Amino acid sequence: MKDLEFLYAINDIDDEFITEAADDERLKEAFCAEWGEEDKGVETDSDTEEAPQQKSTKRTHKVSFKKIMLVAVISALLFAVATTVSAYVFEFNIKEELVEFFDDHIRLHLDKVDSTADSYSLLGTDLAKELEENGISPVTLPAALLTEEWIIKEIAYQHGESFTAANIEFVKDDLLMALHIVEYTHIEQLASSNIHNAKKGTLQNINGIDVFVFDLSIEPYAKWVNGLTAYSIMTNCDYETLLEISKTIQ
Amino acid sequence: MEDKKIIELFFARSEKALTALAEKYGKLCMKVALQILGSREDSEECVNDSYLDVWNTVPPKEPDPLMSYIVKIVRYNSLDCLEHRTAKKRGGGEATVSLEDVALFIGESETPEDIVERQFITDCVNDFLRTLTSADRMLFVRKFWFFDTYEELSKISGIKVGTLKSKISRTKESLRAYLCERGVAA
Repeated sequence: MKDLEFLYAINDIDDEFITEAADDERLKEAFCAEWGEEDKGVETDSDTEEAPQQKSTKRTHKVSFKKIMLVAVISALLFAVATTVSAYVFEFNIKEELVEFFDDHIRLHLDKVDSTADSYSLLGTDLAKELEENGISPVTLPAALLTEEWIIKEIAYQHGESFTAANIEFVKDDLLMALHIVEYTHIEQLASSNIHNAKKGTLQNINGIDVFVFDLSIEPYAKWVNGLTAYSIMTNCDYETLLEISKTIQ
Repeated sequence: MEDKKIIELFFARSEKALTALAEKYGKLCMKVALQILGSREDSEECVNDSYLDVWNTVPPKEPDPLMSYIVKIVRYNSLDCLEHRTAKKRGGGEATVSLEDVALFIGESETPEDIVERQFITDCVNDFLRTLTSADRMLFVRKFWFFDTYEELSKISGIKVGTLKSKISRTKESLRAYLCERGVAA
């Protein structure tokens, strides 16, 4: 019981300590910085297995990078000939200031994207008016979802101290588009966004706004920012369909 | 999937939220539950109950960070399960977590004041953690909150197991003294 009481008591320690400790790299740096080189050395049976594993990982990264570069060059050539659309597939035309690649995720620097719309041509629609009544305005929306084909099944609002959010579900037969809109109060809240499991992604400039479309392992996903408002779409449609729909953002 | 998006799925009441939560944090949750309960079956039940707890609390809650939110629930549910199991068996149920490492200082009490006292102890532990260096603090949290083994921590950091044990031992002594001064330790 003594032990349980202690474990209960530390259950609710501050999140900052948990977040700090969860980061392996930070842990390693702190240990080495404070306890020095003399204490280094792993005393386990698997010690000898660890070093080759680390080497292998590094080598894999190198090969992957070369492959990516090769694909990048070839793809860039094909791309330049084949398309006139203002779109960038990440593998071969990365705007480095917008996207940062990590081993397991991509970080979008939303504070550096084009986020000022050239025009707001859908403000007269019922949906835009309703969003305005609920504190979200002006909005940029995919015009393709405001046709008779797509029916708005549900709109749900969430009002927080520093944000107003709306979830809008569009349906067409068995297809679903969930548009999530969040209007923040401070630009800092829009600094970055991490994307996991992206198989491919496209960056397009639509109506003056940078629009990201990703093919994730679970479903395609679109993301864009307009002023203090962030938009995302999750859908059970395929990647190409979402790509086409995102081109109609106005 | 990023936490923000998982939260968005919960807010949209999409069952994909649970899948995404399990995909991202399921392994960690199972590890923590297993360390407390020792039984895979009980641990799976606790983890699934914890997912349900998240489903029932988000929204209105918007946890940030999500990881500590879910793991705290898993820890709590697992401890609760262990407590019931132990009470039933009258000492027969043993946690697999290395309790000799956490066999600390706190007196037995089963009164309704437990919760208040527990909060007081938590506050004391938080204050104590702030007095530690980053390395000592992170080691303590990894050992007693995440239930990492010395071997795991040694692999991650490259620091010898013996050194880690000695550091933990000193931190435990310091904590014992810290709590004693505040009338907590038994």
